[in-house]
Amino acid sequence: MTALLWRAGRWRFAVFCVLAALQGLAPAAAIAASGVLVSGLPADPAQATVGLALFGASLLTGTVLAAVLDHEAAVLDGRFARTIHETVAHATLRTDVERLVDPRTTGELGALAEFERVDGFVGTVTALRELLRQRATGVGAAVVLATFAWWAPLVMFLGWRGLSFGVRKWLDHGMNLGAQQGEKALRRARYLRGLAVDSPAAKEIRVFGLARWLVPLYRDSYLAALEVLWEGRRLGMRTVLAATGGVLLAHLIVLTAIARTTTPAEIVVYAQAVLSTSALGYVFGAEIPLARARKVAELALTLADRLATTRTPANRTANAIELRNVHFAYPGRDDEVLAGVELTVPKGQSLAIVGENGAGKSTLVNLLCGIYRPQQGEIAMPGEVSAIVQRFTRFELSLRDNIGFGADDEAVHKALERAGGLSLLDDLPHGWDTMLSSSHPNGRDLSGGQWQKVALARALLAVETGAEVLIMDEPSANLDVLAEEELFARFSNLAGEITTILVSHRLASVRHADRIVVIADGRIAEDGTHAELMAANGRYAAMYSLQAERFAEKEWSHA
Amino acid sequence: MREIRVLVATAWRVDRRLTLAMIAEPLGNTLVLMSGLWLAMLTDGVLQHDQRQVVIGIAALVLGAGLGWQLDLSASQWRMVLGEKVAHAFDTEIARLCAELPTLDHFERSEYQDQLELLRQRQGQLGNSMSALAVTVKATCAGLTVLILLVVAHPAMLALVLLALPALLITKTQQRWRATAEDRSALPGRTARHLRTVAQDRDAAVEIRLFGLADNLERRIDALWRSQREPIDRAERKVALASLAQQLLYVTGVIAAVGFVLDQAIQGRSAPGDVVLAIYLSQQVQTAVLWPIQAVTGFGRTLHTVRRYLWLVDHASAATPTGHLPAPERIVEGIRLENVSFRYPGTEKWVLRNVSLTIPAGGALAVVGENGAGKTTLVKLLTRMYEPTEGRITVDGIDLADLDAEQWRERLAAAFQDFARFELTVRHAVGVGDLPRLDDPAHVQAALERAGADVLPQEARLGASWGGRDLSTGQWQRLALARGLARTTPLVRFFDEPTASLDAFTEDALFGSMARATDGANGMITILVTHRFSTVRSADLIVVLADGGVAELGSHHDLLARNGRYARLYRSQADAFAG
Repeated sequence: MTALLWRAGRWRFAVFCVLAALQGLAPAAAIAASGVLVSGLPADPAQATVGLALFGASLLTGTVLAAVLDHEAAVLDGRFARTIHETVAHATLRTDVERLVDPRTTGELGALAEFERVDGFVGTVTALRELLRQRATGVGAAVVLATFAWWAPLVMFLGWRGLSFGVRKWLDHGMNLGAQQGEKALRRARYLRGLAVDSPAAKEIRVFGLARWLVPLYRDSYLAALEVLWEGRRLGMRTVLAATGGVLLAHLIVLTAIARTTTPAEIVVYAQAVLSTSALGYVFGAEIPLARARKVAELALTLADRLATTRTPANRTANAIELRNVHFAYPGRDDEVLAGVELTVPKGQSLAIVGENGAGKSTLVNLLCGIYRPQQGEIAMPGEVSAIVQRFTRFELSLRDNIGFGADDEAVHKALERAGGLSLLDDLPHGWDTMLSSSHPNGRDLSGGQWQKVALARALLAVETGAEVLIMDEPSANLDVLAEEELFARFSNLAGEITTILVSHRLASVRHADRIVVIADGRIAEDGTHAELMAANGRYAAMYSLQAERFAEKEWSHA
Repeated sequence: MREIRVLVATAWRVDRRLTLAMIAEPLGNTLVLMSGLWLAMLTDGVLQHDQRQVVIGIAALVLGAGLGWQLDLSASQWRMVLGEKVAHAFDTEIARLCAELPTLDHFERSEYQDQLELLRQRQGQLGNSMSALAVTVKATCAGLTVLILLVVAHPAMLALVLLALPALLITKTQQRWRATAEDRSALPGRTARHLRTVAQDRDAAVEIRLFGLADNLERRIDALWRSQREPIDRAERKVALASLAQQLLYVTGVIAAVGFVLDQAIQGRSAPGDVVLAIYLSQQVQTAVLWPIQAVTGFGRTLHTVRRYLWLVDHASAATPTGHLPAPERIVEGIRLENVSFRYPGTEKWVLRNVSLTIPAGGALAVVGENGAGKTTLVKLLTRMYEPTEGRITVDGIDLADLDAEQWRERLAAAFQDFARFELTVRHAVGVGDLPRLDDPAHVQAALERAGADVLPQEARLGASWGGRDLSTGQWQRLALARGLARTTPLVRFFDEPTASLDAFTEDALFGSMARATDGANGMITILVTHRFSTVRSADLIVVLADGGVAELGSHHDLLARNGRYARLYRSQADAFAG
C-alpha cells in the first residue's frame, strides 16, 4: 500500500506524513502546557499564565494543521485511487488476451470492483491521517509518561499492542474473505444484477419480464455470499475480546503507581497521558479503511505483476500469410477448435472464409489478429494487421477520437470517407466533436449500422498508416443493402493493394473474392474460386444455393 | 423527514436487533466522556488525602477505558454488518426499480444517467447511513454530556457554544459546495469508468491491441480522472479554508474560557480541580461540540444520497404505465397504427412521423428501410418500451396504452439483433424466454431445435470468465433466437434482424420453423425487421420506412409492380446472386 501511496505523489505524501505526525503531537503539547499551568496554582500566577500561553499556542497550531491536512488528505485520497486505477488499467490494456480472459484475472478484477463499490478507493489517506495523528498523540503521551517512570509507557504500549495486533489480524482475515467472495460469489451476484439493470439486456429483460426472476436471484446469492463473510468475521472477533484483559491490567498497574505520587499536577498530567496511550492501540474509524486499502493495493499489484507480458512479438515479416499445421483449443477445454489448418495467402490476394456457426472462423480470425496463439503449428504474417471485428468497441468519445485516437484530422476525414460514413456528420450536432453516447448532454448515440461505419473507418485508418492485412469479420451484419453494396465496392478497391480477408455468411458478397475457403471441423474443407467451388458441388455450393433460392419463388408464411 | 423514515424503516426491516444496538450504542459511549469527572475526583482525592476517592477514581478510569473500548469494537462490528445489510437492501431495491422501469429512457438520457451514476458512486453511503445516523445521535449525546459538564465547571463556559454556532451556517454552505462539485464530476467520472471497463473488456482488447490504443486510452483515463477530481479538490480547498476560519474563532474562545477559569482559581473563587476539568473539557469540547456538527454534515451527505434514491423511487412510480385492462388472449382483427409519431423525450427530431398501417390478425409484417429509418423504434413502441408521442396503437380497437403493460409483454416474443448474452447455463439462457417453464428440459429442447441451436448440452455453462464456454457471435445469436421462440403461443413475435450472424443452413431452417411454430389459432402476428430481402418477400405485408414515414406499403408483388424503392433494393440483392 505504501508503495502505491508513494507512487501517488512522493513529496506531497512525505510532507503530509510529517504534518500529520506534528498535528498528532499538538495534544501532547497541550497536556504538557496544562501541567505547567496547573503547577502554578494557586501560588504562582506568572507560571500559570505562561502555561496558558503555551496551552493556547498548541491548540492554535493544531487547528491550523488540521485544516491544511484536511485538504491535503482529500487531494491525496484522489491520487491514491487514481494510482490504483492506473496500475490496473496499465496492466489490462497491455496483457495477453489469454491472460485477460483467464477466470483468475476476471475474478481479481471482480474483487477489486467489489471493493471499489464500498468507497471508490477514496478515503485511504484520510484514514491514514487519522492513524498517524493518533499514533503521534500516543507517542507524545508515552514520552510524557516516561518522565514519570521509564517502564510505564512500556507497560501501556505492550497492553495496547497485543490488542492491536489481534485486531489487525482479524481485519486482514475479514478483507481476505471479502476478496475471496468478491472473486467468486459476489462477482456472480453482481453479474446477475448487471444483467437485470444494465443496457445490453434491457430489451429482453422487459419483453420476457425477467426483472422479477433476476432481482431476487441477485438478492439471495449476494446475501448468501455475505453470510459466509459474517460468519468468518464473528469467529475472529472472540480472540480479540480476550486480549482486552491485558489492556485493563496495564491501566491498573500504571494508574495505581501514579496515584501513589502526591502532587495533583503530576496526577493530572500522568493520568491523562495514560488514557491517551489508547492511541497506540486500535484506532477506530481508521483501521478498517486501511485494512481495505492494504488488500486493494495487494490485489492491484499482484494482478499487475501477473499480467505483465514478456512474450516475443509474432513474425510479421513473412512474404505471405502462412499457417502451418495450426492447432488451437480454448484454455481448459479438450476439444480442438482448429485441428491442423494449412493456409498460404499471397500478398495482395482477397480471401473469403465461410463456414457454419461454430466451425472455427472467429477463432481463426483471433489467431490471425495475434489475439490468441496456436498451441501447435506456426503463423507468419506479412506485416501489421488491421481488422473490423464483429464486436467492435463503441467508445464514449467524440467521432474524431473514435476513429483517430489522436491521428491527424485529414487522415481521419479520409478514413471516414473511404468507409462511406461522411453522411454521419449531417446527424451530429457538433460534427467531428460530437460525443458518440446518448449519456453525454450534447452527445448522440449511433445506430448499429452507423457504428459499423465508424469501426470500418478505424480499420481503414490503420491500413492507411501501413497495415498490410485487412480482416473483416462479418462487416455487413448491421448494414442495410445499399450500405453493404457500397462497402464491398470499397473493399474490392483495396484488394490488390493489400491482403484482405473477409468472413461472411452473405455469400453473394463472398463470391467476388479471389479465393474462398470453407472451414469445417477445424480444417480447411474446400478451397478455390466461386466457380470452382460451385462446380465441386460441396458445402459451399449447398450454402450458396440455399441463399440464392430465397430469391426464387419460395414462400414462408404461417397464416 | 421522509429520508430518515426510509433509512430507519429499511434498517429495522433488515435487522431489528442491530438497529436497536445501533440506537443504544451512543448512550454507552458517554462512559468515555465521563473520564474527566473521574480524573477530577482522583485529583481532589489526592489533594485531600481521601483514599476512597482515589480508589474510586482509578477504578472508574480503568473500567471506563476498558468498557468504552469493548463497546467501540463491538459497535464497529455491528456497524459493518448492519451497513452491509442496509446497503444490500437499498441496492436490491435500486436494481429492482431500474430493471422494472418500463422504458429505456434511463439508458438513453444523460440527466437520468447522471443521477444513477451518482447514486451508484454513493451507494456505500446508504450502507453507512444507519451508522451515520448513530454517529449523529452519539455526537449529539456527547455534545450534551459536555454541555452538562461545562455547566458543572462554570456556567459561563456555555458561551463557548455560541462560538460554535457559526459552524452550523458554514457547514450548510460547505455541503452545497460539495454537492455542486459532485454534480460537476459526474460526467467525466462516468466516461472514465466506461474507459476503464473498456480497458478490461475482452472484445475491446482486440482493437486496442491491433490499433495500439493502450497508451492513448491510458492517457485519457488519467485526464478524465483529473477532470473528475478537479472540482472536488477545489471544493475541498474552499471547505478547508472556511473550516479553518471558523475553528480559529472557536479555539480563541476556548483559550479565553480556560483563562477565565484560571483567573477565578487564582483569586480563590474556584477549586484547582475546576481548572483541570476546564482544561480537559476544552480539549473534549474541540471534538465534542464540533463533532455533532460534523456528524450532522456527514449525515446530510447521506441524506442527499437518500434523496437521489427517492428520486428514483418517484421516477419509477411516475414512469409506470397506467393501463390496467387485461391483455387479450387472442387477436381477432389486428393491430392498427393510427397516425403514430414519436420522438425521444427531450429531443426535437421525429423518429417516426404519422405512421398509419393495419396488420391483420394472423399476418406477417416485414419492416424494411435504411439504417436509421425508424424500424427498431416501431418495435419499441409495440413492446411498450416507449409510448407514442402522438397518435395511438390499437389492438382489436383497444388502445395499447390502456392495456396492462406487464400482461401485454407476457404475450410477446422477440429476438433482437443486439441480443443479450446470458452467461448462465444453456438451459437458463434459453429458458428465460418463457420464464414459467425455465427448468423444463423438454420445452427448452424444443426451442433449441426450432432455432437450430441444439448443439450444446443444456447443462453447459456459458461465459469464459466463469470457466464456461466462449461462444462465437453466431452461436450466441442462435441461443437468442431459441429464447425468442421459447414462448409457443405469443400474440406478437418480433424478429429484429434475427439472422445477421447466422450461417445459411441455420437461416434456412429457421424460416422453415417460423412457419411451423404456430397453429395460427390465436391470431398471432409476426413482425420481421430486416435488411435481407430474401426473407421479406413472403410476408403478407411489407412496409418500407424512410425518414420516419411510410414510403411504400403492400405485398411483395404490389411493391415489385410499383417499381419503387423496394423493387430497386430487392433486385439489387437478387442480382448479386445471379450471373
